[in-house]
Amino acid sequence: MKDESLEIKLLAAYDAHADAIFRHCYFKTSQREIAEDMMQDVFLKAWSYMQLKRPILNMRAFLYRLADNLVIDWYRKHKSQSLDALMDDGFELVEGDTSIEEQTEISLALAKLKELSEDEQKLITLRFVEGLSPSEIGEILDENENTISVRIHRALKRLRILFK
Amino acid sequence: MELPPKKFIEQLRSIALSHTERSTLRSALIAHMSEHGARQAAPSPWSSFYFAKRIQVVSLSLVIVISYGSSVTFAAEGSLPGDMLYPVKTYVNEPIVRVVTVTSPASEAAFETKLLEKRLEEAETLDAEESFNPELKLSVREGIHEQSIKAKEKINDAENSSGANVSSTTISITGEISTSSPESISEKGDQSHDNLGSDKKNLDNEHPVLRATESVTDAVNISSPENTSGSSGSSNVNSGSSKSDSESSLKDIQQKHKDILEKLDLTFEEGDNDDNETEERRRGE
Repeated sequence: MKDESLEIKLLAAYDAHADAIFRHCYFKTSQREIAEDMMQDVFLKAWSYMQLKRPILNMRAFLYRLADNLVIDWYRKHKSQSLDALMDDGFELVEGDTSIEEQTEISLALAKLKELSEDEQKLITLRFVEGLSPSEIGEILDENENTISVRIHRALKRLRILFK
Repeated sequence: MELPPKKFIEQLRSIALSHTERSTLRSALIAHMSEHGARQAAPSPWSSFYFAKRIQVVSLSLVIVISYGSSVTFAAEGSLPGDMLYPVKTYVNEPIVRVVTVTSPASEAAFETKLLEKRLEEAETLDAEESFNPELKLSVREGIHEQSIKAKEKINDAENSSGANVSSTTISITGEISTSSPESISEKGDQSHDNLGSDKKNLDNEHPVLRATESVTDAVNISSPENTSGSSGSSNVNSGSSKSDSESSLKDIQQKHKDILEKLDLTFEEGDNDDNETEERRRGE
């Protein structure tokens, strides 16, 4: 059975969130190609899920959760490589539709971001880069909204110290 | 709440897929959706949607089976012996009606008598048709015979349970059934009509009450169809004489039974006569 409305729904979600999901994966894997593959995987998994006719209450939060799960799987597969080693390698060149000058700046910003803990990185990017509300972040991370707010505040404090 | 450095955020936000990457991946997704949309993943049996669908399917098929079945049984109601649906009528419809309607021995007797009546009506209808072959005739006769025995038993049961005096009417009727029915079947055999008549007379001697009714059946057997009204009239007189000492409902049934039995003999009269005629012709040759 082919459901036109589901296709339209998922394509709309792709248009709205593809970049954000890609970034989310990129921040964690630091590898552009892997992040691309993961983003693609997220939408394929979302499609399989939609085919089961199970309701998705919040598409954005749902996509982020799928992405987080894929990242965890990816980390498990690359256990042999130490996480620190990966971190040390830093981000690949950003590429995309950006100039070399911009790319250098972005790399610097990413390096700054990496100075934060993983949790802090996630909170800062979701809240400020992607513009998610604390309640939405709470949904993704399976946490209370207030807890998320407090943690965002702390992460922000840390970030500001880095910029001083 | 303080905000993080604006530039820092913007730089991070500028990380994105290139336009070509985005459109390539988008078309790949569309291809995947159209490819995997048709082949739906097997739904989990615990999914409420799946369950609901299951129940729908089951109930729909139940409705179909019931409505189809009821239409078959309805169609079977008008069937005759030898028809495809006739067994449905006798083995499905009637037992169901029996279960529903039978509440007491009297109603059971009434029901069985009604069935006997039905069998006779069927025989009459069949008799008018050309397709009524001897084989079918035999099975119809057996059916009527069985049904008459059944009705007789039920009438006896009803009488015993109701505590009414066993009237002479009952004896005569039940006796008549047990004797006349097998005879009407055996008439198909080698026995000549005269032999049968003498057998009946022997029976009459043993059972005086039977004499009157048996003479009626004899008369019917011998007489032509024009004499039918007269013979049935005499049987009415016979039964009327004993009406006084049994319950009215039972009497009604018994009367009906008797009428039917007369009809039974009449119904097969013509066929039997034909048989006898050929028999006689064969003898003459």
